[in-house]
Amino acid sequence: MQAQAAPRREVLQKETELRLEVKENHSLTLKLVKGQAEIFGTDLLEQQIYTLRAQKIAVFTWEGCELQLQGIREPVEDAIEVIYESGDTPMREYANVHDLLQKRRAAALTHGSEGPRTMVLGQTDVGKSTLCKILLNYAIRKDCAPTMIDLDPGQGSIAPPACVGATPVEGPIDVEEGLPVEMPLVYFAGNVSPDPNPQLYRHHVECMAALLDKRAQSNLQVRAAGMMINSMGWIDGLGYELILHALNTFRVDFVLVIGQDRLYSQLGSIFRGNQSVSVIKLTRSGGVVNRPRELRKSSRDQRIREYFYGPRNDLQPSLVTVPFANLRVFRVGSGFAAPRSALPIGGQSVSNPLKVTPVTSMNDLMHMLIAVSHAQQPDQLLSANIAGFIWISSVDPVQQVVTYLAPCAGDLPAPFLLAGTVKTFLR
Amino acid sequence: MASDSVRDFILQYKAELEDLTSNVKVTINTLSQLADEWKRDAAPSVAALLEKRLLNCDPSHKLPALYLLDSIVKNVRQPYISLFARNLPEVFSKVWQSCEGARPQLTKLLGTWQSIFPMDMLAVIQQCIGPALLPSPAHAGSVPAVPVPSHMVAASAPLHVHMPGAAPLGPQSWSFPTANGHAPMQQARASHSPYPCTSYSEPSHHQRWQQQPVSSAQQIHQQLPLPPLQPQLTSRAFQPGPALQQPVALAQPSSAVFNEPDSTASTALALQSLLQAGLLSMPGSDSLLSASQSMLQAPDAHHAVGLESLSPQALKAHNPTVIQSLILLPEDIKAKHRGVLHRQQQRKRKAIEQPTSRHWYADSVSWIKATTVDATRLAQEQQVAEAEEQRRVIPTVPVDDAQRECALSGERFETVWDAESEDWHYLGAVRLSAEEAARYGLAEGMLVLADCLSSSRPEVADDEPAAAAAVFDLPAGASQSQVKFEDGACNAATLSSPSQTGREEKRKHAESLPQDGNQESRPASAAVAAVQTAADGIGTAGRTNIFLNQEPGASLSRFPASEQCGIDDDVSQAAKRVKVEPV
Repeated sequence: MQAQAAPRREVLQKETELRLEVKENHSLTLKLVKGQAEIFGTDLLEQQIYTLRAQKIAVFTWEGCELQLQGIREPVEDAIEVIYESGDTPMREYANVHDLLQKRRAAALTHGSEGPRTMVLGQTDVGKSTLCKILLNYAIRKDCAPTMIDLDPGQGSIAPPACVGATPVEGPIDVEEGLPVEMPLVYFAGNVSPDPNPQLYRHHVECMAALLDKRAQSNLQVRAAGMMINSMGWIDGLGYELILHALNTFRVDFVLVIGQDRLYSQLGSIFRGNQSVSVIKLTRSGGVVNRPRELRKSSRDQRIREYFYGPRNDLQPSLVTVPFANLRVFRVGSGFAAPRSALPIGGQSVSNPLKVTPVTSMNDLMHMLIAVSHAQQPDQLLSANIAGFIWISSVDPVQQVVTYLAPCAGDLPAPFLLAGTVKTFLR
Repeated sequence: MASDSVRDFILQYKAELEDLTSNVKVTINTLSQLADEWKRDAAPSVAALLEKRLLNCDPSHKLPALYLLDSIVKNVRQPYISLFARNLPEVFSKVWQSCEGARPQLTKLLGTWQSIFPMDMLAVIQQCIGPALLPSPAHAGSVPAVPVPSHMVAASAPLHVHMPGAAPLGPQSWSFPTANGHAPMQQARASHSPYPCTSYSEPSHHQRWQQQPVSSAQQIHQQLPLPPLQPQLTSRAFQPGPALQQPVALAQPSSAVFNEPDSTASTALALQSLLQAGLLSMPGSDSLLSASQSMLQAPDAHHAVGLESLSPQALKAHNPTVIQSLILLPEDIKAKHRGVLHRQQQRKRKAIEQPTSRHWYADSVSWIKATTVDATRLAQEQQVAEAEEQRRVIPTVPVDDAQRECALSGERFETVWDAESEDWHYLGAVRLSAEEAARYGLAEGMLVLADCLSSSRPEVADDEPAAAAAVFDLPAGASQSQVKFEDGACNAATLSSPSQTGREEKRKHAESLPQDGNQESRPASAAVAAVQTAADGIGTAGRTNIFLNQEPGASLSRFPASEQCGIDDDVSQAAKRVKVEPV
């Protein structure tokens, strides 16, 4: 066994950041030797060892710091894809935005009124979720616990992809694991984009907003801490309409637009004259990495895997085989709507996008991610939140049995299941 | 009717308040509790009563009353925080003025309110009592540490908040080294400052200090501790010269006066004073000034964010106060964050040893309930639960083939696998220390069951179930609970104590237990069966192996809701602690 490789030291000047990509299937440890440093707003503790696995992160310092990087059973250089320092960060802007939000929170706490409801907008890969994390962490430093809401079914920072969800963030966000995923409120959209069924997406946004309103009303601190809403990167056409719908439904009062002049001016003109909504334009960080389409797909698959097996492969899912009849799977929307061109002139498609129909062919479900709904009746399937997911591992038409992977052993917590279009291969 | 009872309560509360003449914990707790119970109907009245008392009562009674206010805002929190916040600056400064002897306590109290009251309000308080904030009477009558409205400090030499003609200095202003300004500084520091100072060798700015604002600047310097390890205030805007580090650092450690590492408000004030005095000048100093001023403004929930603060330029501005308030956190928040990190790491470590499963998410009703629990109460409950957990750890001792029975009761030890030491252990056994051995008339180093040692336990057979329950982490009453298996292979089994009678009873039931085949399919019942087997094994030769689960919370998920297994809650509780390894 080879001796521990020499650690790599990095000294950062004030207000600079170290951008670091760890290679796939490698990991390294990071230690703050002295000074002050943070990863996406999570303050690093001195001498504490943090493990980074195949992550792209930036260690930022307000005051300068010294870091130590060490590989695990290999020289640290072998684990690093890219590493460089940059002094060009939008952190001052982010801190000033935090200050605006925090003043609103303090006032809300005093008056029992509503805290800031912030929505972050921008195209894909502009650092929306990073900004959310930073602002959440800064609120945490002020002892506030805002609610994080993820309206992007494409990536799934709170729940697996094809969902929209919310979770309270009550402590600094784990550097390794990201947002807390133990207790989210999740709605299953069935698709990684709202495009096939925008009505369902709208419906879920409304359900969630109503529930979160109810929650905010019941507790002053929750209400004053406000909400941090991440949006999807689809910002034109239908995507834009859905953004406007979400802004209204959640009664957003701080709209943060990252690096999108067009969207900024569009929204600016909509909310001009509206004293209660502030539209703020922010700079995109130079450290944000563009992800090609394939990478987005594989990171989605990774998120699904993490749901069952854990981000560090330390969760134990359970494989269960049941007869067909035991699974009562439904689908929202009656298959696909007939295209306008196939209809008689002047005719309207009669398909109802919010219709819930049972799935009859189990073979269609092979390797599919299926949501377990909390609905007690099939007609509640649209509005009920999700208890979790199963993944169909195999379907045996001869024996009439289905084998599925569940997060934990035992029976399913509720009788009705919702199928979507997300397929992946896990084992 | 209801209003009558409210009136009665208020009258009673008023009387109770009048009796609050000394700092008695019980009284303060009772009065806080009453305030909590009646907060829905009478919170404004309670707040008004207490405020009135604080303003009007005898000075010697003010401190206890303020402690009551403190207790109420910290324990009951809302709506009292909002109610008291309205008049607290006035009330606090009145108390401050009339209770000179209690100022250290008042300062301390004020320091603990940072996470409770809005910063803006605390800043107002500090502004009001600023001149008196000196840490010791030696400073009485000298110049305030922070600028205050002149009417409050008529006797002292105030630094006016609005200083005319304090033009910003260009960088070149900082390059006049004079020995002249240095001497009084050193002197003043030597005579007044009990704090360690950074040694600095940049006298260049003293020239400036000799001018208009010199006295106040000196005073600031004297009264603010400058620990050698003071983190430097970050600032590109401060780059005109290294000399600037000094006055900037001044602004920040002022908090130490309040025994609190974070004091945004005082930072703001001090910064503001420096700026206005022209001591600091920088590109963008206007925005800094306005920022520190805005920090001092009274809160207004409904004011729209000023448009100027949203302009891209304003957002890009360097705002040291904001940054400092992000970096310098109060100790209690830091401790909380350390706790979170510790728990995260603990969970990760445990997960490696003992893989767990993800739970199903809660339904919306439970979700709302679970996520709106008062965070502080939740943390307390967690602590209690953790402490409980610690207490419940069952002692084990590595297997010693020389001794297989308890030296006191003669019972045979059960063996369990200890994952930590990777060795077999005797369950519930302890090795006697010399002192204990002497007490029981045994040799030192003998092994006994821990339960036999507790002297408070009467040694009667009736109490044995309690001992069994302790070993298997069951409530005492559970030791006789009936276990029903769904498959009908067996109707009932009694989980009982390892006493002689209990053992026989158990053996009887165990005969009807399916000993194999059932173990894998039905974890909970299998575990119970294993308990039986283990208990039975005591009477016979051979070693029975029980795996003690290291993490009850985790294993619970693998033994889902008890009704699914068709067994009593209590027994599933037992099952969660004991996991079966087929021998």
